[in-house]
Amino acid sequence: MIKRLLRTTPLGFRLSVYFVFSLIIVALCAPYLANDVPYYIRYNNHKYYPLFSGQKVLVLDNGTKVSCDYKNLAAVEGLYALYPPVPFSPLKTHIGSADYKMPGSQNGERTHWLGTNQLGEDTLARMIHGTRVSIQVGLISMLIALVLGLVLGSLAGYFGNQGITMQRLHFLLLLMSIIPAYFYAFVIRKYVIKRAFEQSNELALVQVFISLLVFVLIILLFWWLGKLLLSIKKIKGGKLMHLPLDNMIGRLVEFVDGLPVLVLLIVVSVIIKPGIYLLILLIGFTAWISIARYTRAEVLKIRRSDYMHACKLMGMSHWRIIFNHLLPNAMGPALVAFTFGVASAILAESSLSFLGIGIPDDVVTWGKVLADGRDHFKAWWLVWSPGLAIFLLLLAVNTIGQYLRKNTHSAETLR
Amino acid sequence: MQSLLVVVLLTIITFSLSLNSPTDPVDVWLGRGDDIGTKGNAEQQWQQKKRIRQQLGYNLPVFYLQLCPATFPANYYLINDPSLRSLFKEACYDGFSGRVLLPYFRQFEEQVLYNKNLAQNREIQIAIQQFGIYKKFTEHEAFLTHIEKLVGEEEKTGIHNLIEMLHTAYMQKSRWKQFVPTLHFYPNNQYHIWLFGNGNERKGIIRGDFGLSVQNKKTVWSRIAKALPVTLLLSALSIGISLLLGIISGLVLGYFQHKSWTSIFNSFLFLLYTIPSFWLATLLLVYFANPQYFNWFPPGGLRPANDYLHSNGIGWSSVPFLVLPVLTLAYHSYAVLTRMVRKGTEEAMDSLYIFSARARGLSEPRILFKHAARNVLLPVITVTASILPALFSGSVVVETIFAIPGMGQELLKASLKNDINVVMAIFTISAVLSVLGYLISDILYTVFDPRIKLHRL
Repeated sequence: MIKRLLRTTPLGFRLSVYFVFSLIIVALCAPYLANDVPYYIRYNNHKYYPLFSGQKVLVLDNGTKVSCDYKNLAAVEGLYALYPPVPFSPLKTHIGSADYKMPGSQNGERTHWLGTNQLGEDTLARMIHGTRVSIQVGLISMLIALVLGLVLGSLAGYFGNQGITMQRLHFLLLLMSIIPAYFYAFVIRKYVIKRAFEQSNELALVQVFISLLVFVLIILLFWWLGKLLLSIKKIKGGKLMHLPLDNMIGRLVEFVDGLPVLVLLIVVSVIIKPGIYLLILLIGFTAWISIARYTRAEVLKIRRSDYMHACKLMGMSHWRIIFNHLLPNAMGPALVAFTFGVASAILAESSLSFLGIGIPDDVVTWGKVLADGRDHFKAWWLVWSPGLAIFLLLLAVNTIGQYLRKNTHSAETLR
Repeated sequence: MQSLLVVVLLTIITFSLSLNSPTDPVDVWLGRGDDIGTKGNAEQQWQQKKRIRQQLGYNLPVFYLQLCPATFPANYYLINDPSLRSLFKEACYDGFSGRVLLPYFRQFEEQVLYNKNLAQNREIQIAIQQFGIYKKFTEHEAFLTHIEKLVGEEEKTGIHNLIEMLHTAYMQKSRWKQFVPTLHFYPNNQYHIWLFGNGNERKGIIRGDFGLSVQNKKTVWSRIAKALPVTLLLSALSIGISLLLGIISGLVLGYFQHKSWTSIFNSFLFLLYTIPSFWLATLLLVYFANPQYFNWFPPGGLRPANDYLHSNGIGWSSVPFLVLPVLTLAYHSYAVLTRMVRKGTEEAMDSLYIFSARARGLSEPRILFKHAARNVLLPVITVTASILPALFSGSVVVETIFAIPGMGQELLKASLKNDINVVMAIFTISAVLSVLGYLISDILYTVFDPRIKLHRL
């Protein structure tokens, strides 16, 4: 099916898909593509696989210790090593290659295919590792945004302002629940999250999601508590009222839309110096609004269709209707917004790292390589290779987005 | 109303961000780096810092309300040093009773960190760095027992006292109190002073006083008054150029939609829409401001160096300096506007009122520029108003690359130095400007479209 899909689509779209996927593969395999630790070493009939086993120091059978990188291994006689295609690590400086060596210049037996910067770091290795950051920021942040946007947009569209009725007391209880939910999810867990960010990024993401889960769970708890309370006959809950879910989410969307996101991102990244995962979270939590808008509009359209009425008549639960029948049909426009969001997230990250803010020193990005080129105009390779890479990636993503928009009818009418 | 709420929340966010900054604004005010209390007379330095912190209002709590665990006391701001303060907060959030721990922290500050005798003891200063007492509360006990051996008789009792206090704090560590929410209310706080002033030298933002900048000890307004016209000029020029060119090329492209040459131009527009502005700016600098290729434009700044002698600001001599920045700011909105106008024109040319205009025998230019354009250009007003905030964030990038002393650069410098007053002022001004933009666009709508009338705002 995918084969046929690719055959019938225009050339530009196909090329873009291939380009993006090859970059994703490069990002996944970056340590195996550009590294100065060899895949395989043969010495005195002993075999070692340092890149896969992860050992930093090699103990040879005659007792000598050698650290596993090109410079030290090349000094050992009679040792055969098989290196990755780019035998340089991105953050290592090479003494012989300092001061902007041209592309194709030699360092011993190795070649800098894309030249070096002032410190002697290999540009191609940095480009390959920089792919990781761009792809990570683009995809992970927009996946967060996609989940948020789909959930909030479909809730707003499906229930509207009149979908949920409750008694006044129940509503008041629900409104009050925001304070304990915020307290238990974010206030007392503040330092847990902060320490997790200092330890490792993956752990921090997990902690943030636990916090979000706690937030939602506490609000749900208050909801059930309210139901339980009001089921007691003596307690009177006041008049019945509609929960204005659509208005509430609409206000939230308007508020986030009013934020000057890039300026805020700049200020936040300068003041608290986040790692890339905090940056990803920040982009994700501000980029969901367009997805939510598209989803809401699509859900509003689908809600009036016959099969929705059929679902309701069959007595399905709201949950099942939303997730099994509504969302799969309302995803199209959200995907369009997702694609354009990926492009703007990548652009935001590379602008920030070009300005030299927000990304820690031990992470290589395309923006940083370009920033090196800004200091020294004669090094055209430092200007062209990262710039072209960012440009082509954005072009590919935007082309995919435009094709999707053209073929998702409802999205085209929206904008 | 909406945007007012956004501004209020934005300023609150910025204020709470300033707390988490590793840079202490008082150090910036004193023109010092990160090293605290290692040189000179520690006690004097501490007194000076304390005085300045009080004078600038940084010793106050940040906001009216604070939701925190029951272990966290309301008078936590009595601790002077900001990094020690956040350490105290962390300890309280972990369950230590703040009531017991607060006197410990205050005495620790006074007797260990800002003690005259201890500041001259090299071993103790090394120990302060080694144990990381600003970062880890768990190391405090080991640190104190370590330095107890090193200090003289005078301080020995004090430090022994501190260890005792630490022990009681550990004894009274609570298992459940940190899970009980409490709400503290502070009538006198930094945000309040920023808004309404403190009755003395601070007048508050409602009287147009943005406070002092810690970078050069002058008013924020004096910094912004220099930077604002530059950014406004850049934005106005780039909006004007992109509007003019965008409308013309959009109308022409839409009119000739079936000609084959338009598709080439359309793909060019798509490229222009995609190209990152910082890369384009770098390329322009490399190829048009470089003696190696074309040395047509100066590489950065606002005026020739010798002109600065006569005046700051912008003059006629800065025209070549503005070409590249304006180009970089304008190209993206140009692409957006052209695509929009083109699409509108394409739809308009197929519509019935154009058909009827043709049937009446009007000339083609008249049809395009009089009949089609009037309807196509209405949405342009809204889009232009929404471009304004984007231009501001774009100016951060452009001003940094071309070294232009505008608002964007001011914002970047201020956030690097944790100069919160400047950041807040820039946020407020840009929000006010974007509200003004929307207001003007609403008014322009009624001017250009007689069907729309403003009844109430």
